[in-house]
Amino acid sequence: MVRFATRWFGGWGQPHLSDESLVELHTLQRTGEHALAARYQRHVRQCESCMGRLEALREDCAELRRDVLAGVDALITPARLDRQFDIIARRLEGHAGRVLPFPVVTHRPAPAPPLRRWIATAAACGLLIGVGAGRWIGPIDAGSRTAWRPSTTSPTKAGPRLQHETDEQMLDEIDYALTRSRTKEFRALDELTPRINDARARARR
Amino acid sequence: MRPPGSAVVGAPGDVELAAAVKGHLADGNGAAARELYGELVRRHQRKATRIALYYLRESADADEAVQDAFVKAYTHLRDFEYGRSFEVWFTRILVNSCLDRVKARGRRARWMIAADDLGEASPLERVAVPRETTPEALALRRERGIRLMDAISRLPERQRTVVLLSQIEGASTREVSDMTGLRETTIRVHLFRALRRLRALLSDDPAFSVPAWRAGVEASGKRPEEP
Repeated sequence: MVRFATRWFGGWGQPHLSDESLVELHTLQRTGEHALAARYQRHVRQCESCMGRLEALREDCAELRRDVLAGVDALITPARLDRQFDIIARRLEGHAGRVLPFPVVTHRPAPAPPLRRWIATAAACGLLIGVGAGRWIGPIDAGSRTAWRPSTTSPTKAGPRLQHETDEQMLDEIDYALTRSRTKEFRALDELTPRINDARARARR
Repeated sequence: MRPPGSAVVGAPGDVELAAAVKGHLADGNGAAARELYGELVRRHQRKATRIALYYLRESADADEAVQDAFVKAYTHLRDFEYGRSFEVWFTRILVNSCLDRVKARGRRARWMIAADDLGEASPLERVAVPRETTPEALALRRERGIRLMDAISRLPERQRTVVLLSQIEGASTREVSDMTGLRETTIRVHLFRALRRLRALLSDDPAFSVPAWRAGVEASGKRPEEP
């Protein structure tokens, strides 16, 4: 359980450094911040109990640190360092083993020929004129259009039966889409794509 | 040949070596520059690989990050100022190289299966620490190391960097500031936030329960019973 960090505990006559303060003091000493550690150090010099706890903490941390370093150092074999050194030496010489940077090519659009540019401009002008004219003339037969009407059935009011029907419709549509000839081309691609569950199972094996 | 990662007693310091490499490069003597730079690489290779492993775990990425950092340091050696620590300057390049790879890995992970699902484990999960003789003590120490590194890996990027460099690699606040480009006050804030968070993450962990230094814990390592 994490508690609010307090600096001291014990009675007024015999105060002691809290665990948090002790860790802080140890950290400050380790990082060479002796000026900041001085306020706690004064107390530790006079208090045997805190001095003992600080020593125990120091030993605990040193042991933990040694274990961590030893664990990682065991992975760094002389053969590994030799191999690494050879690669560095080769790269410095500019021989094989050098990592080539990813080719950075600034992509510039090819200059369009003048004729194509004219066609594009004419098409854009035609579109603008068409839209403008359409707005000016207005709808030809407003009566024949179905006016937009707000839906009378809200989704919350729709019962479970209606919901069920729409779900069924959606699933039917998906089934139909999958059996259509147009999606056949995608099936081969889909089969080539690895499934994440298969890859996980293979990795565990 | 001396094994990589070891230094010769009485040999010139890093700064002198780096200055000599710069001098050879300025004279156009590439072969001599590379030869001397090789000495610098050997000195810092082990620590560099360790730092890369913290960030990138056991993978080809870690070795590549180290190689990239050494090559980059060589090509930018003209920017290295005489009087500064080569180790600090180089670590900054290395940390940036590792962080770039971590970010790239994150981008890739969005489209691929997580590396952990494929059995890639923390370096500590594969190695036992061969110091204690009893299997129980060995298992507990190994477990503590694993839990600590797991908790560190869950910290935000800056807090993680600060904890790794200062608490594991033993750099001072000033050195961490030079390595990361962050101000010393910012580093202090990140460090204490990280420690608080680590304590919260590990407080319920049985491997870290009731250490002897905790307030109210007797010398035997047991908490006195509540009245």
